[in-house]
Amino acid sequence: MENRINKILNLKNGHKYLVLNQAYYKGNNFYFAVKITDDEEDVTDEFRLLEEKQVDGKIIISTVEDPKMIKLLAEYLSPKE
Amino acid sequence: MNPNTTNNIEKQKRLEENLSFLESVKILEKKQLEYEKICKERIEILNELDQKGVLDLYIARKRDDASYRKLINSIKDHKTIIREASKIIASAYKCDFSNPKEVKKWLEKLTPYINDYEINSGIIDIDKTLKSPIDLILNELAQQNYNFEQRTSNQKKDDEHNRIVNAYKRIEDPQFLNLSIEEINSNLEIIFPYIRQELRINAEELKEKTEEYNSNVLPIVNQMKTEGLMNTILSILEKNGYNQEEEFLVKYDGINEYIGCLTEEEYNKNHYLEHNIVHTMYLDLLHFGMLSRNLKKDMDNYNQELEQTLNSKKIQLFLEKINMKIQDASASPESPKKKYTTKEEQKINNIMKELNNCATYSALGSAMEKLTKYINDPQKTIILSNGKHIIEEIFAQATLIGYDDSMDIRLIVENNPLENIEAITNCIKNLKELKKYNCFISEKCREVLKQKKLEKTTKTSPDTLDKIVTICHQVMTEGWNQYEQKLTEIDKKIMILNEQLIKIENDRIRYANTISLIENITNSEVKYNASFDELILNSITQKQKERQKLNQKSNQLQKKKELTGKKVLEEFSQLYLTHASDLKKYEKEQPENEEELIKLQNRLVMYQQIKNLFVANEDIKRKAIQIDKERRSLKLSDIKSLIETQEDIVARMKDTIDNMDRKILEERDYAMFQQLYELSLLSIEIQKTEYQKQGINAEIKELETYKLPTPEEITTIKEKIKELKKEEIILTKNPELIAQEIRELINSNSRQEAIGEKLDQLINPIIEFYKPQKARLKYEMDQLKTKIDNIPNYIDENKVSLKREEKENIEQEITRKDDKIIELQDRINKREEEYQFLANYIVILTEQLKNYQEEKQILLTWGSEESHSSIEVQKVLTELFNQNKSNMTRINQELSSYNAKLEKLKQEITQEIELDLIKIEQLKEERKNLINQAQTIANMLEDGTAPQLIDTNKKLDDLKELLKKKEKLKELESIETLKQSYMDEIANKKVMEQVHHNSALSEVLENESRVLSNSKIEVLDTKEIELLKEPLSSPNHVPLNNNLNALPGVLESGAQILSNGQIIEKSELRAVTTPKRSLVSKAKQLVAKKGKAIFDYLKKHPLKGGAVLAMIVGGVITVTSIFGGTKSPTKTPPKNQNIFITQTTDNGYVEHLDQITEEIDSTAKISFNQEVIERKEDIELPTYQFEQEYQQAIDNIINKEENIYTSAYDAIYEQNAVGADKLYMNAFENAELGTIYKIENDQLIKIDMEEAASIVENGGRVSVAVENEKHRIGFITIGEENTNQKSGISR
Repeated sequence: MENRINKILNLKNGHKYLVLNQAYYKGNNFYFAVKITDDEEDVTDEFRLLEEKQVDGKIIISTVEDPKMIKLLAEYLSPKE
Repeated sequence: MNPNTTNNIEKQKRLEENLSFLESVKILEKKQLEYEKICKERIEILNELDQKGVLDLYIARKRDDASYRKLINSIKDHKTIIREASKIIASAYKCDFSNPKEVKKWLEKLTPYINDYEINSGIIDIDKTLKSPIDLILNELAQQNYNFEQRTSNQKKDDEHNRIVNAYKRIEDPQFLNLSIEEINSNLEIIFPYIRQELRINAEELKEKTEEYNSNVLPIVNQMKTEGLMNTILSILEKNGYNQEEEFLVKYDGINEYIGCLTEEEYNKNHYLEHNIVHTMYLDLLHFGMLSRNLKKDMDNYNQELEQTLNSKKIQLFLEKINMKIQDASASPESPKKKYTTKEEQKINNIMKELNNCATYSALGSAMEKLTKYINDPQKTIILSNGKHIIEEIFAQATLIGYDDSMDIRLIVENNPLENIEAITNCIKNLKELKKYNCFISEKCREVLKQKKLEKTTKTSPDTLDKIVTICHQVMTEGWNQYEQKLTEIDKKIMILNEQLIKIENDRIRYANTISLIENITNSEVKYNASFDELILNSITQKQKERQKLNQKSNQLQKKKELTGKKVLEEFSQLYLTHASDLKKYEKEQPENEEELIKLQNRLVMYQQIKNLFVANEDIKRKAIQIDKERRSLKLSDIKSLIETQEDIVARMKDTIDNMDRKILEERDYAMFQQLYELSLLSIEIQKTEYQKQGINAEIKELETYKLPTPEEITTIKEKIKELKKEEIILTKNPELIAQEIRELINSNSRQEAIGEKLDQLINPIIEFYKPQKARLKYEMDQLKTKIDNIPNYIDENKVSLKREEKENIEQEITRKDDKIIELQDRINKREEEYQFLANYIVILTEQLKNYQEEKQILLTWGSEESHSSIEVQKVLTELFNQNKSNMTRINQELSSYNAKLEKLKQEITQEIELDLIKIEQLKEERKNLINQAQTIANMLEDGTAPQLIDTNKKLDDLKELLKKKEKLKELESIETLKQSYMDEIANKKVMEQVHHNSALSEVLENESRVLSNSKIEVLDTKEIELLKEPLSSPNHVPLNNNLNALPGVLESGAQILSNGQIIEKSELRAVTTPKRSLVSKAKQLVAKKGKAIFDYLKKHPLKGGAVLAMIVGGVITVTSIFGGTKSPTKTPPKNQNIFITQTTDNGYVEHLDQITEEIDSTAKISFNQEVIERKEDIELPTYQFEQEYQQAIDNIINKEENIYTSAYDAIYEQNAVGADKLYMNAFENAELGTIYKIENDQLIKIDMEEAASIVENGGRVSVAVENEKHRIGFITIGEENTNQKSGISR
């Protein structure tokens, strides 16, 4: 597990996300991330809960879809004041 | 203040502090125990790692040794912390609780230790129970940016190793088989993944694990064997060996089948052999076997490769040595005389050089062979300083380095020199295999392996070997990298192709949309220009206004309902309760008055009836929403039918009220019922408004999809249209192409509407294209027909009749001429007869004259005679003579006159005849001309080549042309018929679909009515009345207000939170990079501003099944799920939609909250509905599995049948060209899957394809059964009488 807080996730589809917060749960990493512009100069208004998975040796980043997980993450990934 | 009171307060405060302190101590104590446990585990792991030598290796390999030391130190720090904490805890118990200062001091001391557990570097471990000690360390290290991934994985593996060892221990336990299934399963589950993971570590360990596995798992298996079931399973497995996955799967099926055949008793007896375990176990066995094999292969290759490299090095060393010896020998004065020529020497030297450069045994062998040729001569042998022949020496040296004799070397020579490359390629292939099984041996492990190998194999020159290993490693890495690179390239290419594909697909869809749009515009005679956007926008605005009006109406109705409804329902319940209590009272006080009692009871029953109807009406709306949410299958039409159901209910309500016994009811009851009835009507009215609104929303959504293309696109589209027009024209000539396309569409499971549209698109333009032509052609044809009809009359009346007269005249003239000729001929004949008569008369006269001359001669002769010299006689004689003479003279005269006459006549006749002959000739000529003329006229009349007819003939040609066109029209009509048949087909399918849909709907309604009818008729209690009020007061609106209040930041900015549109993100992680500092601070600001609002909201309103995100942009609302709230209709949709408004209206703020809620509710529904509609075709919602399978089978067969039908149709179409044979063959080709029967004596006899073909070719008929594995669905009859007949499918 790597600390990806304040790191940019560069996805193969060209999207870039800045990790704002990270959680480790049942062997998987979850991120609260904000989408950033292509030139990495600015942030957008799009926030997402992302999940990191290993599929066939590749690291896949995907949106969290399980509502229970969303609820759980909402509890833990809330930004600190 | 009273001092006692102050004291009490202080005491209280202190007591609280003390309690808090004690609690803290307890927490710390607990934490300390936890911490100790963690540390213990960590130390154990470290020790274990240490024991295995991993740590040393790690330290030796790790460049940054300092970080490792920090790791150890951090563990030591934790030990210290624990020790300190223990001390503090120990002394904290001695704390004097009476002294508040001391308590406070302890609290301050303890707090950091407690917090130590809570603060965790920003990475939050959610599931504390799953938190591994290794992760704790790593988290801390990660905070300090240490990169210990490698270590992590090793440690993780070791951690897992512990688990597996424990699992093994448990399995080794003879009591293992007595464990529960779950326990066995969990233990086995621990083992198998571990074994797989272990494979990644190294081959040495793998071997151990294999043995371990064999010694631990196989005994269990053997033990299981004794239970009988296992015997069977294993015998299947062992018989074939479990090497191939395919074989295994077959066997697994066998196992399943076997288990399926077991009786319940047998199954229970072998309960722990529940087939899941068996499956898991054997699958793992299989994987294990495969992996170990692969790994072994890999290692063998590697060893081979290593040895090759080592050997080459050895050869070099050995050759150096030989060379030196040769040099020595040459330098030695005792060396025998060399008799080599310079040239030979040169060659030998070259070969020696070659020998020196040998890198492998094979090269060495080949060089030596060459050398042998030159130096085999004993006279020319190089004898070395040690007295040995150079070849012998070489071979001897070769033996020394591991090769017994020259044969070995020769064998190597024969080997492919490319074997090194092959070995590496094999390695790479195996690596690929390993990777496929998620079992890639890390480079690190390889290094370790190499190192170990080096230790074993090399003792003399580790430096050289190190180099070799490095080179070898480089080669392998390079190979691997190339492979990786290739994979990446392929991936990229695939990605690019996919993108292109998507783009093309999108373009295609856009073109299709735009073309149809433009065509619509052209049809409606609206010029296509830039204002089209405005047109659409205007339409959207118009629709929005309409919606706005409907909203207002809906709001007004809602308010009205709320206002009156509340009052009416209160009154209703009041009255109801009053009547109920009246009844109870009456029952108690006057039970004897039955009549009044019944009256009162009946009144209550009426109340119940009305109430039930009212509730049913209200319920339908709620239930519709619920069904929509649960099934996501409500369409506008469904809502409409629900409204109709409501209308039915309300009509029933009215009937009930109208038919009520007024004697039972009081006036106020009747009025109350009327009010309830009106309220229900209002409810329906609201629903209807909703329905209209949804319709408009759908329209708007559709309008929004219309987008004005760019000028370039317009040009392209126009060109495309031109092309299409051309195609259209081509298509008009090729109806079979159209038919083909339509058939393809029908075959390609497209949406029925789409097929219909396509059909219209295809055929209507053609029909349109033909319409004017058709009309014109008809007109022309009619015109020509009239003309043609008139032509014969025209000919008779004028030209033809004249000609005929002329012809007749000529003929008469000819007759006259003929008569004249005959007359002349007669005259000629008469003259000839006359002439002949004269000629004959002359002949008679000439005869008479001749006779007279003879007479004269006789007289002269007689008179000269003596006897006749008498006078008398002389006299008579003279007289006679004279007479004769006169006769002669007369005859001569007559003769000469006749001759003259004859001559004259002759001349006359000749002249006349000549003249007549000329005349006859003339007449003949004239006659001939006349005949020709008459013939010409007759011919003209006959074949119409008379100049007057040419015009007519042209018209006739036109007519023929028209007839051809008429044929074309027939073709068109056939297309229309074809279209109609397809339309009918589609309509049938639609009807089927509709029936299906209706049955689904009626099922819903039936369920509804069942629920309604099951609802008991009973007296309303207060709770029920409250419930009844609920939909009217709409408490669900309140949270929205709260939501909005909870998101002030969101609303102020109008920002888009948790983006809509591309809700689901899914992509491979390409890289992780470090952002600029400014970006991080911007993000932090944004989070400070909005992030909290989101999470606050989420915490306050826990999501149930996903939330809904609403977007209001320019008055248009789109609703989508957020947080990945599932979009898939197969999953359960959100049950409790928490509406989450993230955009303000275009006025900048939300005006009518209720209105917006309404909009969101309805739009949310629409959104889901739309989604369902869009996905409808790829969703099958079988009631149960059998039906689905059966349906699938039917569908397959229908498709197949359509293929046959299509082929037959094609063949019919081509029949004129290729003949009937092809028709039959085509039909057979497609029907080959069905069994073919011939019909004999009303019986079906199974036949093969050949026989069937021959029967059909000979004019017979066969039936092809359409059947699946279990059922015969129907027959298709093929043959002379029914070439393309499609028999009905019986289900």
